[in-house]
Amino acid sequence: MFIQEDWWSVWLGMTFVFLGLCSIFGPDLVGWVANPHTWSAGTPFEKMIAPMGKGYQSWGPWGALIGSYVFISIPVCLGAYCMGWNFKKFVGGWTCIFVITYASWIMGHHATIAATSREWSKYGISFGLGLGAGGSYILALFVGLFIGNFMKGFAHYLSEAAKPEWFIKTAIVFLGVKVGYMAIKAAGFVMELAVAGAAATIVAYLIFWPGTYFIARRLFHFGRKTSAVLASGVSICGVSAAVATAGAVRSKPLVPIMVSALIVVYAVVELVVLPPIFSSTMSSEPIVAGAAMGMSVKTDGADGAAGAVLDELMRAAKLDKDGVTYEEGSITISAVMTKVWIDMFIGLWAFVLAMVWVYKIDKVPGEHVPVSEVWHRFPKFVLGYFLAWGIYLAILFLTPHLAPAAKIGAVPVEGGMRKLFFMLTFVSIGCITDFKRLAQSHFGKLIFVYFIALFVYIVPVAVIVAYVFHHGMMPPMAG
Amino acid sequence: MLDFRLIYDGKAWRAMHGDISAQGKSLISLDKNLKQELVNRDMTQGLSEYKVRMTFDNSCMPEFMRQYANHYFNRVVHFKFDNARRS
Repeated sequence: MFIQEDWWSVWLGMTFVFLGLCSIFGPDLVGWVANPHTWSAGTPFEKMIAPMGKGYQSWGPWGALIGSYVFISIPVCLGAYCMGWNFKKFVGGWTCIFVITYASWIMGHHATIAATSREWSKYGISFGLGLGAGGSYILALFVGLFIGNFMKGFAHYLSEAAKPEWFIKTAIVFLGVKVGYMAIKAAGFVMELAVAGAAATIVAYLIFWPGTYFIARRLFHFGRKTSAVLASGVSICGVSAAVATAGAVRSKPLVPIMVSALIVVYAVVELVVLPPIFSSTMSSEPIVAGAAMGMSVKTDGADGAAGAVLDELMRAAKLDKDGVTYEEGSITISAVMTKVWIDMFIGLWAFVLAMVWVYKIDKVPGEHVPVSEVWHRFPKFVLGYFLAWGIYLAILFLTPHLAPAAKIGAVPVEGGMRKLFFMLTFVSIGCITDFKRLAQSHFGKLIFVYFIALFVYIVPVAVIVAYVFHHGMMPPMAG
Repeated sequence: MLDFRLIYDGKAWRAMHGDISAQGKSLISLDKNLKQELVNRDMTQGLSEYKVRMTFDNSCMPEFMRQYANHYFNRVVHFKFDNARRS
């Protein structure tokens, strides 16, 4: 439990969740987190970035930045130490990534990138991209990709600390606070989203997997094992599903390694391409767009990141159009909700596949499939997500008089820290994505089957399934 | 029951426990060779069944993949014997 990233996302996330909960008893122990604001030429630095908590305003921007670095680095570096990573290299890499992240975050809040057209006059500009906070995410990704593809020595140095899966899983634990806390104003929405997400996920599984298996096996003539690994990787949840399936069907490790390398690169392509397409084509159905994103984008990191970009783009577009917008994070929640259900099903699916393979297809005399495989595959960060959700839900419903005090500690965690960990994810994904890997690895037709299965089959079906289960659901409005 | 470390070396599956080791191009041939190795070492004498657990060594996976999956697969194989000396 102390040597796996999955568990450490729970420890890291819950550390700050519990520190945030201390506000119920008085002290705000998380308000130091530095949060950037939209700015333009002439804006003083203290207006560009400031601590989130009212009690920490005297720290100023530098105090908040240094405080954020110190207080977040302590548990992060402890985790790296416990997991046996190269500690010296990790601390150096983490510090660089932290600095790059905040620099990108602040730059991405420049009014020409972030401000909507309604805000242009306020910032004295006459044009802009109107991306909202999504501009920071896109900028962070491109900065990371630049490092990963053009500064390879530096990228290698950062690699010990560039852990997008750890960062996004921690962000998802923080998102649990948001979900619990959002239930105050939209309890029905949250529950409906959870149920619809589970139903959509089951249906998607039953449609995605056999269809992709058919494409790989019948149209591209791959073997059974490779087709199964591809089907899980493309249709379910990326690398973890590909590895789980490969393990279940007892495939030689080369197959999941090749499929995983493809998944990582394609996930970044999806992360860049899908949010603007979904936000422009599904503007009247933001939750459908979010849920479809969760079913389309592979790997938790890319999905959480794509959901966050979609959230910002759709909220900025709504604000631009109507002058009001959706509650921040609500579209991200819909994207993450379907992904969390998918993640939970991986273990069960891998177990079923292992049974089918070991007892039916490749009968191995004497071999038994241990049920413990289900637990081995279970994503542990989900426990942190539901725990954070449950704690805030319980506080707000059982002791509503504590809600205002609880909110003081919840906002820096679900707002500031969650976004910071999203930003860390974007920078890290970019740093570890080397597009040359595609050209060097002789993937051959694997590239094409993946492309066709993903963009011709998975994404359209995901949109249809998301529409069937989520249409008409609207996120709560901000304010 | 013995616990074996299972790896794939690029050409064959290998199961190792101390100085006991076996390999095979497929898991079926690995099991067959391991069963024979246990018999040759007189470890199954008088037994009708011998249980072996194989834990895949995740360090065989490239580093970039380990953050996505901490676990590849483990196996439990029951070798049956008509008697102690014959496999």
